[in-house]
Formats: sequence, C-alpha cells, structure tokens
Amino acid sequence: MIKASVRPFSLFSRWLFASGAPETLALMRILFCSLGFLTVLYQFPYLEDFYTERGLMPVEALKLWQWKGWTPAFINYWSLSSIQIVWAATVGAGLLATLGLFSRVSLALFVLGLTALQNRAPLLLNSGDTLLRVNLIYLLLSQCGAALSLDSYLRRRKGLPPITSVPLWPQRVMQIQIAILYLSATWYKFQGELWREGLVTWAVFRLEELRRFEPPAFLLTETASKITTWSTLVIELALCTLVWFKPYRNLVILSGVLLHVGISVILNIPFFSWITMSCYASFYSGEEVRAFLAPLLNRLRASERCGKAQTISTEVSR
Amino acid sequence: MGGSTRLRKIGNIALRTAVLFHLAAIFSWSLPKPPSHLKIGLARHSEEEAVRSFSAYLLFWNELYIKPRFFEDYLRITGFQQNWNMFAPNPIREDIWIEGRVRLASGKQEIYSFPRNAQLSLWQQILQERFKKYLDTAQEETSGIVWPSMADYIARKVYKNDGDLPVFVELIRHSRVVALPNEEQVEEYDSFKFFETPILPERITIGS
Repeated sequence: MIKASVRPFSLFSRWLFASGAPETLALMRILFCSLGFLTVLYQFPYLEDFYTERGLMPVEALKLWQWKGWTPAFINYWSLSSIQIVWAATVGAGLLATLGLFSRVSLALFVLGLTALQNRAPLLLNSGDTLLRVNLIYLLLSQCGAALSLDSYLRRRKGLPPITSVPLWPQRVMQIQIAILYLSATWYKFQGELWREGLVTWAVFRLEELRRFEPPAFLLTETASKITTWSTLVIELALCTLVWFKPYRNLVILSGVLLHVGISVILNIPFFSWITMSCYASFYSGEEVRAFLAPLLNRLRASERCGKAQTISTEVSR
Repeated sequence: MGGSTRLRKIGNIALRTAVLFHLAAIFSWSLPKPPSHLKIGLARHSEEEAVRSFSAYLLFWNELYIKPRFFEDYLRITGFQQNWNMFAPNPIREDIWIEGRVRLASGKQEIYSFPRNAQLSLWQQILQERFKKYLDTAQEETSGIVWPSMADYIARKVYKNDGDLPVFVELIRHSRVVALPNEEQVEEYDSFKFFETPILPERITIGS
C-alpha cells in the first residue's frame, strides 16, 4: 500500500526536478519580458496619475483601503521625477532581460521595478498583471538566459561550450501554475448562473465600456452566446486537464489560443490574453522549442557566419 | 561523504521542500471561496450545512483554516499572491462611467469625466485602459475609503492655476444594466451621486 503511493510521488518528483534543454525557459523569458516591458512602457503619460501623491491613489488612502502589499514597497511617497527614474530603469532592465544581456541581473532589476510599481498602484491590476509578476519571479529563479540570449551568443564568441542542460523545476512550476489558474477560473465560473445558462458573452459583448467595437450581429444572438460561453468553460477545463496528455496537447493549446485571441480582439483588456497565451509555451520541452525555432536560428547563424567570413576576407585582402 | 556532497544533498532537500510547499500554497490560495452562505463569521454556525457538500466543506475548511494559518504571509511577502476569478462567478453586466462635478470658488461649475472606453479610438482605449480598471474597483462601496482621493484628484485636474480654486466636488456614477434575453433593454444611463466633499486648498497643491 505504502509502495503504491510512494511510486507516483517519486515519479512526480523525478519529473518536477529533472534537467533538460533551456530553450523553453529562454522563449518564456523573451515572451514575458517583452510583454512586461510593454505594460510598463505604455504607462509613461500617466505616471503622475497612478504612482504619486498627486494621483488617484495616495499611499495613506491605500493603507486605509487595507492594502497589505508585498515586497518591495519602496516607492511609496516618491515624487514624479523619482518615479520617472524607476520607470526608465524598469523599462531599460526589461529590454535587456528580453534580449538576454546580463540576464540574471537585468531580470532581477526588472522584477524589482515591475513589482514595486504594481505594489504602489494595486487598483490598476488585472489578472494578467498577477500572472506576469508570478511568472517573472519563476524565471528569475531559472537559468532562462542560457539560450536564445545575447549572453549565450557572447559565450559562444568566447569559445565556451553552450549550456545544454538546466534544472527544469521553474518550467514545471509554471506549467502547474497555469493549470491551477484554469482549474480555479473554471471552478469559480461553474458557481455563476450566467455561465451555467450560457449568457456570459451575451452580456459582455454588449458592454460598451469594455468592448473595443460592436461584435458582428451573429455573435450577439442567444445561440451564439450559449456556444461561446459553454465552449469557454470546456476549453478552460481542458487547459487544466487534457493539456497534460500529449495526444491532446496541441489541440487544447490551439483552442486556448483561439479563445484568447478572440478575447483580445473583442474586449479591451490589453496584454491579459497575450500574457496567458505565453504560459502555454511551458507545456513544450526545450527540444521541441529548439526544433520549432530551428529555421529562424539557422538563418541567424548563417548570417553571423557570413558576416564573419566577410570580415576575414576583408582583412586578408588588406 | 564529503562536506560538499553533504551540503549539496541538504540544498537539494531544501529546494524540493520549498518547491512542494510553494505548490501547496498556490493551490490552496487559488481555490475558490466557499459559497456565500458559508462565509466566515456565519461559518461556525453552519458547519453542519457545509458538510452536506464535500466540495463546499473543502473550500470552507481551506478558507477558514489553511490559507490564513499556513500560506497568507508567505504569498503576500513573496509577491506570489494570486486570484483567478476573472469574469466569475458572474461577470459584471453593467456599463459604468464616472464623472466629477466641481464647484469653483467663483461659483462656476466644471465637469470632469474619466476616459470612457466607448468614446476612445482603439489606440487610446489601450493607453487609457488602466483608468477603467481603477474605476471598476474604486467605484465599489467597499472602496469608499479612496473616494476622497478621487475627488482631490479631480479638483487638481480641473484647476487651471488661475486662482479660482475648486471648493466642492461631487462624484457621479452613471450606469446601465445590460438586459438579458427576453428583458427590455433600457437605453438611458441612471445617474447617482455617490460622494461629495469640500476641497481643502492644500490638497490642490500637494506634491507640486
């Protein structure tokens, strides 16, 4: 009996703490850091409105609002010019982390800046911001700069061997994290009458203050509402269950992508869908990501070799 | 066994324990709240009721004992706190926009309207979406504590540095419920003054 229960646990433990190719973590670094970079970048015109004492959320009001916050909370009461410096540093660190230059340090600074800004203005946050923050912290704990990065390029230039195997537990935790998200989201939704009756998209597509534009007429019918509402539940349920089984994985992820592209096109919730879709990469192994990106990487390497050859021939002709 | 091997082994055990603890924490924290009739406070009197349904009991037990005792501080301090009730249990089916009516010292009245999604270009919708998110939460009664700061902010936005200081602000909520099939859709917005406050002159110049 004990053996029977220990075996699945040891299999789970072996899967969770395995090592493998770093490409998936690297791809997720690029996706999350570029999206995080954009979420900070586009707030520049409103830094005073959101992050200073002259804005919508003075620190004392947030304290009364019972905002406990998380670490770090160091930009409370800062002036606009100081906030602008934090903003610039965060944007810069986000760009470097996306490119994978000084990956550990730039990602650490990016996470610090982004969480500090989020912490200062909690009323602005949606689930996409939470998912972004959580995944960036996971990436910070991984060797996500080992591939698809300027760091790995510089390493190659120095003649050092590439890093081909890294601990995969941060990637596994990201997989479990997104599955927990969908489990929780589906469970919450099953408690709602509108979800059960298939009327969610009926209501949401009519919200002028939420949608980007009026959806086509066929999407505004009751039948379409039932189909889209219930298929959302089915897809979200599959994204925490069937996605773990390889034969169904691609189909489930494609459905998730279609769902989120739909949300992103019709509803004005910038970045939420793109951040969620970025999590799907965690379900693919580093080898699969490497094979997927091979044409692009081969072209980059060919142009790099071509550049080197040109340099050598120029030097020889001199 | 060498010192470095032993250290590595201890490090491995610590890492594994930390990761498993973290997974337990995010799982527990992400479980939905128990049904509303079992909410904290009423819970002790309705345990019998909770036991009727296993999942309700599980959620009730998780909410009351597990989350606060084991995981709350860890998730809050590390920034892993999370909540995944997007559009759930039921999405809001009400169009809401907020404006401020400002009375100036001269007796003139100005209107300040927060950005309205329906009136913005696609580009501006993206740029100004955070205002909508702020207002979604801030206009709720449970966020009443931030209404004075919203009024101060509106006063500062309206003030033109011409000495005609804003002296009084009213916050108005305009809303319209989306009718379900077989219900009649009301086109007009319902307007409701949900807060009013005199504005102190020092609040206009704060931080400038």
